Amino acid sequence: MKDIWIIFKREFAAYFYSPIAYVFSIIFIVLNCGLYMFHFFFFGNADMRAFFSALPVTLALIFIPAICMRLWSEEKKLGTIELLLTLPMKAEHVVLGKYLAGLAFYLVALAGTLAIPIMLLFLGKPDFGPIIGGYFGAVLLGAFYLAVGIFISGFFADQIVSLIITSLVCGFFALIGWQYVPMVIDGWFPGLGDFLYSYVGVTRHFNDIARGVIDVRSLVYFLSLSALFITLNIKYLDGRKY
Amino acid sequence: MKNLRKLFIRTFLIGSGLLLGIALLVIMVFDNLNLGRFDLTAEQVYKLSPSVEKILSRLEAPIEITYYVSSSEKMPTKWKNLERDVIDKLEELKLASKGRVTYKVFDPSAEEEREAYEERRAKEKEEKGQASKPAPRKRIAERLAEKGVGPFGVQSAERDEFAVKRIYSSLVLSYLDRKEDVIEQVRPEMFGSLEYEIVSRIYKLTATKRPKVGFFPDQPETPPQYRQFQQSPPDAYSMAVELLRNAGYDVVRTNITKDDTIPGDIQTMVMMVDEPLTERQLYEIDRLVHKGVRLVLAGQTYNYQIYPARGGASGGFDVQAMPTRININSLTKNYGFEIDTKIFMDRSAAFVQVPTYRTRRMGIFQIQEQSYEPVSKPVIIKVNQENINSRVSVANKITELFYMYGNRLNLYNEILEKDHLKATVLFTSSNHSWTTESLGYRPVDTSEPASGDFLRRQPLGVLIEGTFSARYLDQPPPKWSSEGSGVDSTAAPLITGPGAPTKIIAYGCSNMFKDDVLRAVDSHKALLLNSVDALTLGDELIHIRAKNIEARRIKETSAFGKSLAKFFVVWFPALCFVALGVVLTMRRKMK
Repeated sequence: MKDIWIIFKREFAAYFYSPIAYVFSIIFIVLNCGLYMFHFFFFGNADMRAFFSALPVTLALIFIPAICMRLWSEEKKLGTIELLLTLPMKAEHVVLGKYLAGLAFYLVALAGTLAIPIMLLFLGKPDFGPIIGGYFGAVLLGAFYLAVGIFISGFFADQIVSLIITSLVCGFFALIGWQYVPMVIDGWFPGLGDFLYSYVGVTRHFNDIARGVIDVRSLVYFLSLSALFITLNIKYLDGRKY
Repeated sequence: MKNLRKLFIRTFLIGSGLLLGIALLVIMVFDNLNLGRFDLTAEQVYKLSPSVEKILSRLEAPIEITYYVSSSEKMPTKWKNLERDVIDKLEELKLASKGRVTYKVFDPSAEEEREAYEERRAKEKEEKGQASKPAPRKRIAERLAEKGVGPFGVQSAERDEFAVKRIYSSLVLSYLDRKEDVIEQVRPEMFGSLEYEIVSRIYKLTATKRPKVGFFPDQPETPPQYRQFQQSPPDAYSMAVELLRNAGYDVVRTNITKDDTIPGDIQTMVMMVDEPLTERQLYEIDRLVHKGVRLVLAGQTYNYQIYPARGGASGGFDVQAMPTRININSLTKNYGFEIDTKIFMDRSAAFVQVPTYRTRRMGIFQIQEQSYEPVSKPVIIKVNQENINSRVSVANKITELFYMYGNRLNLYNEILEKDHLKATVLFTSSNHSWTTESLGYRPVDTSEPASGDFLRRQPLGVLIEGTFSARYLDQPPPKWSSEGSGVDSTAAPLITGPGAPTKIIAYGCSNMFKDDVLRAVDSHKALLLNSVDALTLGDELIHIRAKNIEARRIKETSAFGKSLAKFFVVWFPALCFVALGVVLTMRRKMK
């Protein structure tokens, strides 16, 4: 636990030392909140459906890859990864420390969007159930994408390559949850699109939670896939010793 | 070393594949198990009512539900989540029924596109002489139209313009070889009542025979002056009867006379009381309730005439009360309630169009012109959604009611308690209602009372359950009116012994079920159907809640307020991050 905390502190502070982190956080808030506010007064509904419906894609394509890209790639580029792995720490502690730091930074940025429910409270009587569900889903979604991102970051020394590959993989998980993409895949390989939509796509599970319905199945989906990618990252780093 | 690296990569890849497979397997296994869900919504809209499981457990054969729906890409913004919501509801019904309810989803638009594509291909081939003309076959739209499923137009906003999209969203319920039941338009705003809609249709589909309902009054008899023109006198309740028949009820109309008695095998009696009843008619109703037949009763003690005020200021209108002189209270007092005999008014009022006449001079001629003016008076009561009890199924799809000249209901708690009757108020007046006495033919004073004298939330619709005390218990039946007053000691059975438990739904307004009002207000149709469904189809059906996920609207906001909200949401958090960055950088530099 102590080792995780040491790594967590180092990584979390590192985010705030870099101006890039601020730039990405501001882009994340302005993009998501701006998109939400663009049509807000046109529809005039005191809910956050529009905000949460865009989140799987905006997180997958921009924000999470940006958080993750430096986690291992920078260590590799600077050569500090060998030093880190030879420290008297278990690989899982190092990975978890870095992962939790990324997650904490994401939560700080996500907290910036809490201005929306505050505004809704002043302008109407929103049902806070789906809003709480939406934020809970956003945490699970971010945790899952981060697990994917940290895993991919472990393979590349170049941060940009890491960012692009993470965007592609997370984007795949987001897009496969839309109905149109599985339909096209089903056209080529009957049944595959439906399988990917039902069991692999992230959007369906996220949308359920964002509606205010926390289903055990969705929790299992997010937790098992997050655990899978973290485990793979640990195993891969363990193997680098050879 | 190189071999070890290769071995690691191979082991890592195989291990990763295995772990991924295990994770997917876990997800698939859990996806087929319903381990529970937590509904965080305020109205618990995604949870089935407890009664549904009981109802579905009695199904003897499987019911298949087909949801015909256009894909969400083709839906307007407001409709995008509908398919998912409906599928979730169907999935819950499937789980609650332990597989007796199955469902499938079908996109007719995709099929239409496929048909069009195949047609084009066939035409091209035919033109090239590669194939002969294919045999004609029915298009999907025609096949669905035969079932009662068709596309309908919905408004959508595209590129800042309003447009109309034609979409499919219908549910078809199939049970054995019976005629399929169709919910023609499944709309987002009806999601709250969808559970009730489906379950009540399942009830009717699975019933061995059509549920039978009695309806009073019968069509009015044709007087001689109408006969010579081959006309019928106006029937104020023809639409209500038609509505019930279309909903699958076998409706038998009766005037409760010696030759037109209440049928013996009805499950529910619907009574629209507009005029005084004879002693024998009251006796027959009492006997019916004693037998345990359920009763929907609507009546009111006044009707009103609204006319331009004489000698008053221009544009003024007066209201004159006309008592209906109904005497049903002599019976219902025994059941623990009565329709109040005072004039009832509410600040929450709708308006009616009243004809007015103006005389116009055209040279030496005078022409009288008719026009309609909207008039709002407190006797034209409007019941809003916040005054409707959504915890009982009777309120499903009820958004507002036009309680045209209705009265409040007086509940007698001492009788309700004595007979252990349970009264559930279905809807009430607003917090600003009041009563006044009738002044004969003089205009009614419609001015509001002093602020402290308002009546708060008076019951206007009520459901009473239990065993009611018969007024005519052990009394000889009165004679039919045609035989003169007195006692008919021979023909009719006596009301004796303990009564059977039953349910009565009472409304202090019958005008809302008359053709002209019923035609204009969908909520009234839903109220009548829900009342009859709830009483006729089973006790559990009453407890299916009305769930509402209607959009919660924001308040009217000024242009400045909008700009402030945009700044607060988009730029304020961003500026906070900038400020945080500056502070942390300065602290680091100072260190």
